[in-house]
Amino acid sequence: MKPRMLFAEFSTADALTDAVRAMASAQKGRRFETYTPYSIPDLDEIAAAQGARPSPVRTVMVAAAAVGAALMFFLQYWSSVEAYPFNSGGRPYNAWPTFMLTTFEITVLSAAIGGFVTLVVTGRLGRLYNPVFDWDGIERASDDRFMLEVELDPVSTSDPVVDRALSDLLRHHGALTVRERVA
Amino acid sequence: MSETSLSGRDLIAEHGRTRDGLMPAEMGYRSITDEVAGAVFAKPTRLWMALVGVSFLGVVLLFVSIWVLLAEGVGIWGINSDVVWGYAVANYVWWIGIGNAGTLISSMLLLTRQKWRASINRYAEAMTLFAASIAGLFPLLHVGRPWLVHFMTPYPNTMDLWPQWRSPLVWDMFAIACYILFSLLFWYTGLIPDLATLRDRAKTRFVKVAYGLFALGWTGSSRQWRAFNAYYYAMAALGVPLVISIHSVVGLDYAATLMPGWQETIFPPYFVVGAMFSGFAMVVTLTIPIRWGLGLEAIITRNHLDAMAKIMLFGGLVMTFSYSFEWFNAWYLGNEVDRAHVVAQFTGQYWWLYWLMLACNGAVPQLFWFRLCRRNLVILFIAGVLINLGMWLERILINMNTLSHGFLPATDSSYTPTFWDWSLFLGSFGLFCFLFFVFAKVIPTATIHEIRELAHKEGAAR
Repeated sequence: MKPRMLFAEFSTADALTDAVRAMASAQKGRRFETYTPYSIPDLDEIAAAQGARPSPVRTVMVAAAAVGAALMFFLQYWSSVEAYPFNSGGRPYNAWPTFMLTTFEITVLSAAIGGFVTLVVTGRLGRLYNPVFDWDGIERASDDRFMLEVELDPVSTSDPVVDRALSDLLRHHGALTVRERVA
Repeated sequence: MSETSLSGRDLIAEHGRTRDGLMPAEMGYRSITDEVAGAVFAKPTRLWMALVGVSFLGVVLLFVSIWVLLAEGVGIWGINSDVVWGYAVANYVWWIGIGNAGTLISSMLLLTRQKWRASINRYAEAMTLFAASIAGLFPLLHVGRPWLVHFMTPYPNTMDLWPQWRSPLVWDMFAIACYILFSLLFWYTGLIPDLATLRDRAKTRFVKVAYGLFALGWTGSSRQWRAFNAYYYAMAALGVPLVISIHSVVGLDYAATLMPGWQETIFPPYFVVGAMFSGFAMVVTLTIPIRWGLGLEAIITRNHLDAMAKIMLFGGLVMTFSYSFEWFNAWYLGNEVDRAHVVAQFTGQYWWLYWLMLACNGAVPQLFWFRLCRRNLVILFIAGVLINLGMWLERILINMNTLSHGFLPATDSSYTPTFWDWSLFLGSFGLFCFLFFVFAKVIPTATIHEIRELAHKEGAAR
């Protein structure tokens, strides 16, 4: 059985935040996602309180930076000590202080690339189609409207009273429209 | 859905401004989108077409200059066996300086939560990207045989050669390459939500698909915003030390030599401040026509320009201090060659260029002590151009003064730029303007999603 989706549209960020907060406390454990024209930190707090994990972007960036730094230093060490030792005025082959600049640049670049890949993967970017685009009016989520999509139980197992309470709650908090469809 | 909204100018007339003057006191999200995205979708004006046309002539000039250079060799420039670094190296340093400022401006303003950032960071970053790419072109041409440029990169080859990692020129290549890629990622990431806005507002299928491809299917979900913010702020934090390292490496290209006037420990920080200084001057020079041409007076205000003028004043003071420090150092160290170098700067064959540089970089920014000058568009624009000229002269003189006046009288010589020196410089300027005009018409010149956030915080939108 496919779950059903409920879609509510708000005209202000504050109304959306209030509605999400009220929903999160009234009906714990509901799966929902918001679509907003700019980032709203309050929503992140609510999501975190519900157990959403923080984005892994920075962890990956640190790891990528470490790998990039190690590889770049090794490349310089190996090429100037092992592969092509070049005596320049008696200076040491392993001139590690001078290896640091390129190591630093590559470290930063590795972090940047690692983070971008993580952003694309965890943000599910690169998929040009998303089922949420099927809702009428979703294009205003990148302009001046604040959207909320909630997963409802399939028709066979759902409780109409709970569903009703949810849409009343959203309307009460200023939802302009509340719509439903089978996902 | 075809509600028409008032323009920013009308909104200011009706409601006045927010207390800090950064935007109209009432400005809904729709008005913000219309204000910025509207400039993208509006029909190109005749003026814009003319500007693109003129700058395209510059692009043609650039390609002709490169063609002739590749056919004839670097002998067509004014460089000689003493002055081996001429316009190409100076232009490289100048362009990369401008290219450093965009990321620095954008990152530092983001990290210090400057509210006025959202209106200027986008084109400051675009400026960075274009300027850094153009800067990267000059060392390629300067080496004379750009088709062998892969010799400088570390790769297993049949000659068993590896780069000389102790050379600043190798550091330089890595610095520039990393920086261009980094700036591209930083700029593009900030752009994704705005590209989604353009995708959603596009009228025709072709435009929708074109923006949609680059928007990567952005939905604005809280999951995406969380990842976006985590990445974007981390990039800003990485951007500041990266930029500082880039121009320090450029400074080391000079400082690691033994030449009088170059071998100075002050060079790396002095190059970094010089880059910030010329970069802000370039941003101001670009801002004034952009806000006028695209009608963005409501979101790029005089308060923005005022803030940038104060930074230029600071930059000017640090530059003046650095010059004085060079003179003092030459005297204090007691090295005859260094002292003769400073005397030659003031009285030698390029004396008038040196004085002109001091006037542009030291005296002109002093205007910005006065509020009147910080808020007058004509004064700001002229001062911005003069500071850019001053910084370009500085880069030129660093090469010409030192190399034409070495340790031995036998190496005294001079540098006379040729037609092809000038044409390459003007051509690079043409390419920069061309890219910039096209950018201003295709991509929102201000960060729409950040302006929405600002409007919400300032109470202009709910």
